[in-house]
Amino acid sequence: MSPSPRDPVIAGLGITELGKVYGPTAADFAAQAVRRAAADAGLALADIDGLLVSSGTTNGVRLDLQRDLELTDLRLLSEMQSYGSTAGAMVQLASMAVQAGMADVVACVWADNPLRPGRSAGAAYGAGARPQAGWPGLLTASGVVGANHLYALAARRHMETYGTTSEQFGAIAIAQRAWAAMNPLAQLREPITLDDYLASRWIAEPFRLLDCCLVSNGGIAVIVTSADRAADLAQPPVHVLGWAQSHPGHSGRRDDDFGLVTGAAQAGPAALSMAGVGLADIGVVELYDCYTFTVLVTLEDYGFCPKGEGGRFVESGILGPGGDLALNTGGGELSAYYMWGMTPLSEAVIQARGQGGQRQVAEHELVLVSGNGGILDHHSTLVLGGRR
Amino acid sequence: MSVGPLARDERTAEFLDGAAAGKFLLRRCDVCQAISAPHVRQCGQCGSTELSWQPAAGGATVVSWAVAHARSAPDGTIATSTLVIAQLDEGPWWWSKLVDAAPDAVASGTRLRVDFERADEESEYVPVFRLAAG
Repeated sequence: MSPSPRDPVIAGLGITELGKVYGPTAADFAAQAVRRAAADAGLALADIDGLLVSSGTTNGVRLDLQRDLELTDLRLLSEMQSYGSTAGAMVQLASMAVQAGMADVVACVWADNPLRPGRSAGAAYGAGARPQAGWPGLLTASGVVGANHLYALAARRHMETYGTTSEQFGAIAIAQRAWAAMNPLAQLREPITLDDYLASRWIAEPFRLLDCCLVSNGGIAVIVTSADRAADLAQPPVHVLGWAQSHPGHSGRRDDDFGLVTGAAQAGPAALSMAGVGLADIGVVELYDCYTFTVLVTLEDYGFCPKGEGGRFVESGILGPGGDLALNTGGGELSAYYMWGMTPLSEAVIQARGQGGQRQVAEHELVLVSGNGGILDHHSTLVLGGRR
Repeated sequence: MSVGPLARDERTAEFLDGAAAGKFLLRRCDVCQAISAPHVRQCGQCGSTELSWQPAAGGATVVSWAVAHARSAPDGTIATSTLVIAQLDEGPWWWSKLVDAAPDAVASGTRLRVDFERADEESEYVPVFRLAAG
């Protein structure tokens, strides 16, 4: 596919302070992230003519962010929500708007502030009224509460079907923590061993604490513009070469493949095909990692290894700095920060630009980015390029 | 008390009437006879919205299981509960708690039967699972 001046490019990245940051609301974080992204790109806020916003658990990032940023004459403005797949979905919509000439400079932003002083992370994510009526109330009353329980059920199914083990989940946690040690943005940087992993407390078997992502306050924004426009801006352009989404739906009955196959199996190949590249061309992989298990099943579904062999694959020594697969090179949501889909996307942009510092991967021309939302319900894939 | 409080709404009223009578009500399509889960709005097979209620036989098989650990305030003791995805013999899946069974008594394929419990007299009956006898 020959290059065009309107090819979409990520030209700006804005990251607020992340983690146990108290005071700013989600909207405050979102505005700050967009300001930082514009400054990063060498753009004025007034240059922004498209705004896509997405919220986390506090549902705090809304259309009125336009007003907070005093943006006028927007040609694209929407709230989007497909949970962890939304960061990718926002970049996709922004890319298509730029390609079509509908907008020139589109900011895509996500922010959340679930953490409050004196309240545990677990309580933060369980906070808010649990449904006690109707069908949602039935699940709660039955004791099935929240993502930890539902993903644990998915992971156990994978373990019993394919023989995947806890130690194999642990290999993912250990490798990502080793990358996080080199990431100044990461919340958790102390290396961990298999013993540390196995000793961490149960959340919902088979998940231990170290199988589960962090919780963070903060916000991240990216700015998508045309290749032509990006050529004059401050950062190395990150081309958006391919993209796809998959929302397979679950039948919820006999033959449902919940826990075994995800939408990544459809969206990965589709995005690679759009980009005109193969898996072997990918140098860096940033996968949504709400749980260690999510990484494992996504690796299988993307085709890095056959279905069911994700466990053997991740414990083979291929992960971690120095391994052959540069995966979640900032530590991911497990060790760096939990900004939903902005976590893998932000690290992907940093790597694609060659700005990873101590953790920079040498082969960063093509970066694969996943997003996963709901309970393995919503999937997005992006293929990003350091150059066309 | 294994289950939490539950209030009915318009959409769950008939199902919960069944639960109170000890029946797990499923949906049967009037057009193609396929059986769907109780909460569906249209037949999972043919899409028809003409659905009737049919009681499940009560047998199920474990599809997956997990053991939730919860710190109970204020003494900090850890309470565990075994959760299952169970495939009812008629086909639909249901997510609930396994009661009166050790966590290591269950694996994929274990046979279960449906039962009903309620948090208190003001609350609705909630389906739970027990190990099938024998």
